Amino acid sequence: MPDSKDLSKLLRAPTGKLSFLDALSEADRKRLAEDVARASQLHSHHIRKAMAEALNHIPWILRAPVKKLFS
Amino acid sequence: MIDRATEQRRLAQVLHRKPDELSYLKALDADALMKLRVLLQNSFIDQFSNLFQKLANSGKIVPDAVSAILCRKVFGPALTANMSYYVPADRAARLCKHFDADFMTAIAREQVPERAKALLDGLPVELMREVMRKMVASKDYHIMGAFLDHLPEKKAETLMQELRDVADHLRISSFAQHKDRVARLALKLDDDRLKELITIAFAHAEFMLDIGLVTAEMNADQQRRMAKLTDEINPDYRRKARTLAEQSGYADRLEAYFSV
Repeated sequence: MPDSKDLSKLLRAPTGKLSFLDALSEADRKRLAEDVARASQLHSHHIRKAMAEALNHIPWILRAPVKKLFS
Repeated sequence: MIDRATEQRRLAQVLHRKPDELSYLKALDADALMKLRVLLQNSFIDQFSNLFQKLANSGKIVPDAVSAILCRKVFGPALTANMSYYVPADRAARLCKHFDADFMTAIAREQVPERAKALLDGLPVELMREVMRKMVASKDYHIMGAFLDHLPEKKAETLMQELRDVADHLRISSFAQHKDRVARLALKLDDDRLKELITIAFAHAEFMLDIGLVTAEMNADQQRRMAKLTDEINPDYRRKARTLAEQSGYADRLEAYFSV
């Protein structure tokens, strides 16, 4: 489970840029980190699925090199 | 002025939550919620920026028509939408002309309007019109509201004329942050349509706040026009509006509306 310290990593922003979140309690920051991590996972899954579907349109013999090219 | 409730609705969409589920963020003001949403949306794109950049680069060497076929048949809407941020806006607009309305609508659902502003500037409004119709049919109000904030105003005006159901103005407006723009678009409606809008707004608690915020962006003459039309429907409505405006802290911006 992510905690509030992970927010900087999850949002890809330095801690200094997240000072606007200081108004939140530690418990609320933890809850936010959980929501952000969940949304990020959903988005990541969505993009990986889209990429897998795109690769399915390519002849199987070319899939591995194309996947490597775009990874 | 950023509206907090609008921003909470938009953040909830990005977090795959209901707006009420974000009540734990009550200590954050509208500006902070917006900063959080923008950071979050950018982090989603940045997470895969390497992939999107490579996909965008791969299309540089082939003609637009071939790239467009690749987008439609291979990459699909999610990758195409994200690639679009890494393609020069004029080329992205040219590619879009090869897409049908269904594909364009699917792309729009994936895009972050803030990042697609240059593309929106270059897209012909005819292409957007069909997308708008499809989004109204699929009730994608949160997407239309977000796009409304970033479209060139002339295009927004043309597209809003497509709305047949006046309640859709309010549904879209509830997700748009630029209430001043919504106000200018609403003022282009004739008195009958505007009365219809007011009637619907006062019949639904969720729209009452929004029509108040929109009216607050109007000048004194325009507010007086709104007041007159409101009284023609039900003189009691303005009393209700005042109570809500006082509770929500924008009554001082509705002076002309209440002074009629």
